[in-house]
Amino acid sequence: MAAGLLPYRISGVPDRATDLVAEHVTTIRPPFTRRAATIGFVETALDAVLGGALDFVDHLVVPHTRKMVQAAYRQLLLAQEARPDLRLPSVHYLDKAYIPSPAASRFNRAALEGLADAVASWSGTPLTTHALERAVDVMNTSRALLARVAALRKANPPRITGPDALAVFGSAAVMPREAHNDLLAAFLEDTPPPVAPTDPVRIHLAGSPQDHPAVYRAIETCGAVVVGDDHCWGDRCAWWPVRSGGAPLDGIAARYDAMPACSVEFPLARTVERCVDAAVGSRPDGVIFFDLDGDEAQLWETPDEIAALRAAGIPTLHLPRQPYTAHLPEDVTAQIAAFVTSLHTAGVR
Amino acid sequence: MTSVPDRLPAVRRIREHQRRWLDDVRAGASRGHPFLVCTSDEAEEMANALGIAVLVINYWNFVISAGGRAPALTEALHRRGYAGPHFFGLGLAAGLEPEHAPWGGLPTPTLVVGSTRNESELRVTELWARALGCDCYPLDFNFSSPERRIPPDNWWELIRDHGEDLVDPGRLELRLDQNRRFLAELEARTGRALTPGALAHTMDLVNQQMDVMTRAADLVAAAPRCPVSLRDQVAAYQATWHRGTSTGLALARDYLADVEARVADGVGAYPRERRRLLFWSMTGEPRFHAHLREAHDAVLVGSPYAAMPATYARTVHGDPLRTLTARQLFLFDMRSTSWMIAQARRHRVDGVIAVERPSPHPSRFAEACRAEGLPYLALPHESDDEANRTALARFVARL
Ligand code: SF4
Ligand code: SF4
Repeated sequence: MAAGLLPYRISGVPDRATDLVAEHVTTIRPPFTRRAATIGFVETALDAVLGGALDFVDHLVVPHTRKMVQAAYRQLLLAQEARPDLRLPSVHYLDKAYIPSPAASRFNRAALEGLADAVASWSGTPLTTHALERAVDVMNTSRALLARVAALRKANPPRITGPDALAVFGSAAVMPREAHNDLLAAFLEDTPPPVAPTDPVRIHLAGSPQDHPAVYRAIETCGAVVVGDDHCWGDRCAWWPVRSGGAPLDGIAARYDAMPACSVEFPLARTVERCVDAAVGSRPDGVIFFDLDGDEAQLWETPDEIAALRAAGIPTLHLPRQPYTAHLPEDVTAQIAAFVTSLHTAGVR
Repeated sequence: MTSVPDRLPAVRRIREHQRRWLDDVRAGASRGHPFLVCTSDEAEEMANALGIAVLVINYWNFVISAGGRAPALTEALHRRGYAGPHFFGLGLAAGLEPEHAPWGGLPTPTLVVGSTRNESELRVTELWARALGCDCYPLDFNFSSPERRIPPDNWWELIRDHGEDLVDPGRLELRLDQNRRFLAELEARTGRALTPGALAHTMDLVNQQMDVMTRAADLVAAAPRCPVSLRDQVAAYQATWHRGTSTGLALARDYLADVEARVADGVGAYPRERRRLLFWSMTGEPRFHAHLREAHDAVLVGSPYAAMPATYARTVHGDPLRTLTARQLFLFDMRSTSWMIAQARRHRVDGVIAVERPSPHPSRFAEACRAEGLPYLALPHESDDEANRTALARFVARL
């Protein structure tokens, strides 16, 4: 943004066939028997990139987050090398150390500086302190506005639906942020009316990231409202403002260093604590863990998180190994419905 | 007709040694000797240089599944909400339900060394440390982290002397810092001190052992008839779990002596060897091998295990910890097609078999073999079923 480029965040494409991944990526995977873990939103996003769906993108930053995302860096390089006719963006690897230490902070700072240099060279515009300050300001304003949206749905009664809130958060990542801020500010001028006539069941959604609204819709079809969530297409978009004062790059680097990649933070207890805090902050009647098949971190985190929530007296529903699809299987929607009903009849509130 | 030789005596001794060693570790740990649990290629040399026993998770998981305990332990994970098929988590499961574990479970280790190899391994090691009642010490980046610096296809020609050049310099410095702090932590917790030269000595032992194993593999590959079955080749590889110790070196020398004897006597491991094949997958002997041998007189003479020892041996340029760290960040890259082709040539094979996910598109490995005029067969799994048998018959017919 400070270099005058438009950042555009890539998401998965539910139910997209992954023929191009099979053609260009699976063929470069080494022969092994054990199935490499795949997760739908990464495979389909990669397929979309290979298919030219992002032909308006010039440069792709591949972050060091979950392993499947990181692996896309080499996969895209190899695919381009094998097939020069594919129109792929150039790729840049944004590295990150997970385990906190002073050396890790230096490492993460260097990775960020590398990105700043790359961005400057792509745009042909050096990153001035002034431009960086301005970008930090726009992003922090955005986070503050998104936090107000998050508060709207946490209100009692909620004043924005789960799918709508998800759309607001998601759109921030794919359009010019200043314009998005203007639209949000206008939207927030008047407090919207409650989204449900009576007191709806309040659900907090935890587990894997959700970049499309199918799960939200399934929950709200049952007469509940998703009042909060815990993934990086949702409430988390409003978290971690860049600290003001000081050199802007220092602030951005400090944020990058402190922010967990996906949910992966060491130790596990910190991730669990963050999950519980987020859930409790939503004042939910129940928490649903929707864990995508292939989400190898969440797989090991959910049971601890459920135990902690139970200890806090919050009912939970665990939906493990879910497909990445816009059309949830019937047994899953039935489990969601039964859970919501149980919260109703239990009169938790 | 030559009779089929029994399993190699050295392999039997390696297997016996493993069993004894596990008992010794357990006994030592229960007397309060320090011991570590870590995932492969993360901390073994550092522990060995300090004289601390180290159990490698991957090996422990093999022990567990070889003992037929995987189903009960998988169920134990499911009961606790950890859904899905499991392999890496089996050791954790055995920690949670020691009644299903070999020897009734592990004694409490000094540390479980965690790895950010992928999202799940860090979590599994953390949960495991909690189950065993010790701390988890995480290390960042390792050879299976997706690369930032992409190794060239001929990395295997450069690796011995130029290992450092193959890894990202920033990651090398970071991991070096983590390793130094890890060593200090180990010293503090165990009261042991790393003596000057200890790590250099360990690295030297590693190199010697790997050179011996490579020499053995060269003899196996070059002999007119394959002198050691694939099963024994893979079993001998277990000595690698003790690399950097005099025991590991002795086991390797013992194996080499047996191989030399078989070569001198002209003994072949397989009674009939009409076709020689390379098995380019890391799963050990595939279940279809018996059928392949009996129905087609075609035998598997080599696998990546023949080439891996050479990837461990590294020239130390001054600082052994730096050399080791670079190796932890890059051990080998299975994506290299030239590595596979070199192994096929080394073993003078008539064709290559690999296990691949079924796909309408030929893999790079298939294409590399075609370019070399080497027949290549991709099978979807290693079972001995009708579909595989049919594919094998067709493949052997065109060799
Ligand atoms: S969970 Fe968030 S940080 Fe992790 S890969 Fe997905 S979008 Fe990136
Ligand atoms: S996860 Fe599936 S296989 Fe495992 S216990 Fe539950 S139902 Fe059975």
